[in-house]
Amino acid sequence: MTGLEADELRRRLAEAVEPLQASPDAYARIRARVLRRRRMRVPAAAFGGLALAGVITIAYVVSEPRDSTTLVEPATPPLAQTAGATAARVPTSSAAHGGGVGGPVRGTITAQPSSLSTSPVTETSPLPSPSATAGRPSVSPSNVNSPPLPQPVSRPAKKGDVDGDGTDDTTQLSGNTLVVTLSRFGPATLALSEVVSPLTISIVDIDADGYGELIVQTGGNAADTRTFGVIKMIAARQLRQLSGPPLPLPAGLAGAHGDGFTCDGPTPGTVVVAAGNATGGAAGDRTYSVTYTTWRLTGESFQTVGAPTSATVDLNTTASPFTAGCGIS
Amino acid sequence: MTVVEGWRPVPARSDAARSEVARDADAALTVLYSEHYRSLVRLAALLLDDLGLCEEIVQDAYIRVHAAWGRLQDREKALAYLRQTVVNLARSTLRRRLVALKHAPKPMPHAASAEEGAYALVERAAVVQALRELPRRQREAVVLRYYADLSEADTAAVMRCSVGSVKAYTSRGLAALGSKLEGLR
Repeated sequence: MTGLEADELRRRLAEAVEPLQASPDAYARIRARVLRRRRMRVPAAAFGGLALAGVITIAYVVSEPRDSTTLVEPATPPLAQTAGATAARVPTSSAAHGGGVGGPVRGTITAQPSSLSTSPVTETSPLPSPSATAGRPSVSPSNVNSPPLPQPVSRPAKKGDVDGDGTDDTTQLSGNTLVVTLSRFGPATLALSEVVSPLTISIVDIDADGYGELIVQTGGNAADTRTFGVIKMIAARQLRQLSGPPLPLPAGLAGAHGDGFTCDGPTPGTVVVAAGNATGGAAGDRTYSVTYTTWRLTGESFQTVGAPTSATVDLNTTASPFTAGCGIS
Repeated sequence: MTVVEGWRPVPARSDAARSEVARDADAALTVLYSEHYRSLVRLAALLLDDLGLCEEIVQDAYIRVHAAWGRLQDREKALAYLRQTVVNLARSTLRRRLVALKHAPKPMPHAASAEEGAYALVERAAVVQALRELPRRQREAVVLRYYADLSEADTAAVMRCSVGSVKAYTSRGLAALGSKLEGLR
């Protein structure tokens, strides 16, 4: 190193700062700042905790899924039963519906009357007169206090969905009272004048309005002709059993006469009712002359579509039309 | 001398453990103050342009060591951590002063305090004046090597640069300092 040696530099640096001494109160100042920092730690932590809790609360409120019963959806005008609406209907397949005996099931066959854990909310008088309104369930004096029905998620409703939210609803029978637990509205009940226990039921959107109808066995037995009623949700938690031809829907063979119905007819959104009589041939001859009538559910009543058609059916070679369709097995 | 390499993660502690750490930190603060406070103030005086800030910076360093006492991996290295904190704070202060000087109004004259008498002595030292004219990195290298007596490796750790850079800074700093001091004579 030229000019300035290391030792010389060390000495000069040390001499230069030699006059500097610590302030007499330096230690006291450090201690005071340490204490102030320590005192601030608890309020700061508390404030931070409160802020974090607030953020979490806001996030929860914002992201909380709302109860479906509190949904407020804009009212829409009644749906008109249009050809476009019915054309969107996917024909149901009875083979897709299974049956079972036991507790409540979703959509298809449910059995076993059971005690209710939920209290009935609404009970409508059976067999009221049908109204002429079409499409969406109407508001009548009996359901005027019911909340308006929200828009269905699809048209037609999926099998097993009564309230149009895309979720299966469960059914149970308690005595003669049908209890439908609606996933959107809660339980709804309907006292039936006739019903067969264990419950045989199918939920199919017959009129393709986005809300499923319930097809319930109301009489007969499997060895003979069974009869089925159709129940419709007319308002939130309000069910009504429909009447008028072709109800009740018969199904089965009784001697020389047979009846049946299906929702898988050529025209979507309709029910095809078959009625046939044996042609009177020799013993073992299972040939029937069958008349097919197509019915469309409009509002709360069925109306025929087109003229009935006839055909001769040999049950030995052709699938029997005398069965219950629309998801009933 | 060794330099603090880093900090361990904060483990979860009970209240009793926290009190224990706080007591340790208080005791260590007292010991570190009595043994090293003055030398650290002098180190800061050589690094800073403004001697009035020396004590403030060193006190800040003490408070930071006290707050971080529970996370200090090796408490024997507390002095190294203190020294590094002083250097870092001195750097930050110089940066802030550079910005402040651009916008500062003309300072008001003020009465001299007792400490300022000592500061005036330091200001008048030729080596301090020459040191002020060195670039910051060269000044740090010279002060840490020849006043704090750190090795090249420790100086590199404090300055967060390579040993080669320390050698270069020191060499250039010494040469510049020698010629400046020669000129002041």
